[in-house]
Amino acid sequence: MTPTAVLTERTELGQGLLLRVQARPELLACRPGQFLLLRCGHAWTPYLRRALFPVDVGHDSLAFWIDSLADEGIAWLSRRQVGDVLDLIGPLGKGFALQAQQRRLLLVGEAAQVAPLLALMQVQLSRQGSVVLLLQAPTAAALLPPGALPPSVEYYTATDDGTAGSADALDSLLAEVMPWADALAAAGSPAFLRRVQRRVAAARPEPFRGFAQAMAPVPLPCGSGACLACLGTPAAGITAPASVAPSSI
Amino acid sequence: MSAAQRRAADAGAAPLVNLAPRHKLGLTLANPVLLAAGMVGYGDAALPGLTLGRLGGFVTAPVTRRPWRGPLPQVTETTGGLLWQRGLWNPGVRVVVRDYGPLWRRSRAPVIVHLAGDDPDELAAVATTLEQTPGVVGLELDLLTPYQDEEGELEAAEEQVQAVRAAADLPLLARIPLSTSDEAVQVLVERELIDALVLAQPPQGLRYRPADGGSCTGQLHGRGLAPLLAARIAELAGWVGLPLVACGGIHTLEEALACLAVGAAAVQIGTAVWVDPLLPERVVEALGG
Repeated sequence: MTPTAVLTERTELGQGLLLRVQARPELLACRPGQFLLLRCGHAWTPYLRRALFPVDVGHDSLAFWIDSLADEGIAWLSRRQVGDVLDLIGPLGKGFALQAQQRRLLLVGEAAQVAPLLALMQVQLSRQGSVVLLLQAPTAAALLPPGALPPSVEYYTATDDGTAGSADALDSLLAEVMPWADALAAAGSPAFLRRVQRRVAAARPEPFRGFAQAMAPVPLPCGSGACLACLGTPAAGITAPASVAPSSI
Repeated sequence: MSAAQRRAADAGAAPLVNLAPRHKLGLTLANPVLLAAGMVGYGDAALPGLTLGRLGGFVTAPVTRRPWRGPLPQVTETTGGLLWQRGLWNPGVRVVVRDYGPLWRRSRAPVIVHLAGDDPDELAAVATTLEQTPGVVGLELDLLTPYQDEEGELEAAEEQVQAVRAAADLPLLARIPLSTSDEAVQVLVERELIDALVLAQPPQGLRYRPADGGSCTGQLHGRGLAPLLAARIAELAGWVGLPLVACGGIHTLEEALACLAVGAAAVQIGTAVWVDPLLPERVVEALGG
């Protein structure tokens, strides 16, 4: 095991866990949308490393928001305690790209895929840009608690069961906020991204290049593209392999 | 010796190994540690920490004459390993050489290209193109199919090998199933068809899903294969007069050294490198590189 990070903070946040690790400098180069690969223990089961998308990258640490029920490997991580060492490598993937003149960022995602959007949010805030976040989740409990976000972020939600905004609220919110935004980043399932894509097309018939970027969740067994498992999960209008990298809508 | 082989030989003090002593060009590598077919794609997909230039070489993902697209590749974890349903996905030799040829020419690690396909003419066409591609020092080809009629398979294998031989004057490594009989190995050796034997093609595996009654299949990679591999290498090393390359299941330094100790001339490290990208370099260092 190659110790590259040490767990320094472990906090329950919503239905997940917020983990902060002190990490070696090469890991701190991780940009929003890029990921790190975690080795889950010394044994070879679970076998593969797990991809982790940081929600925040600081000067000497980075943070992850994980769903401990996601799978066996992430469950292993959720059992680590403060002071435990972790074997992380990366960064991998291309990540989101924001141009300097893009000041009004609209983030739209499904709650399960929110991590890279939160990292992008932090970058935008650090350069004094504005951020609106629209999140969709099955139920209110799966959403990011509002208190976890900086006060300057406008946060709107939609839920399938209507417990925190109606299911179709996303469409009206998108239509409302889209004219304000000069950049959009989306993360979610292919069906979700198609829905966002339709809204982008309706609100901005001629969006400028680089206006919208999207990420779909794909399997990342090897993390490098060698195994080709990331070729799957096509989403209309998104060029594969968007898998490891955000693509333009 | 190619430029890449010379650069690699200059880089370290691990023992040189010649995987094609019968071939007029030979296949001399700076050390006996390679990466198995496709573990770094075409050399473009290495994880952080893995320095290809420190290794004896790497075997590319499969290359066919024409683009090959089939069912989408899938990886399914098993206990201590995985099933990899990859197929022969590749953009065809013309695009592979166009896109990765420049990388191979600059590579400090010698490149062995994994040929794929059954048709001798198609294999020959791929080999012809690769022979003219700088950086490519050898070819690897899967021969025989597990649990099939070996006699018929050997005839087909001979045709394939002769076609490749006639098309390209590059050393040829044959990757055969672990279940290949001694008799079949003897035929391959006696007819001087190949320069080295790679043991073994990953076996086919299946994982049953109780939840829906379905199943996943694919080539089995994992640590459990290492003892099987070591045992077969030990059996063959005594009488096969060709270099043996151990490929399959090697996940630790000890397992790599064990294969070399029982008679392998070189090792190919497989999916372990996706989990432990520093493993190949640890083996090289242990060998004095």
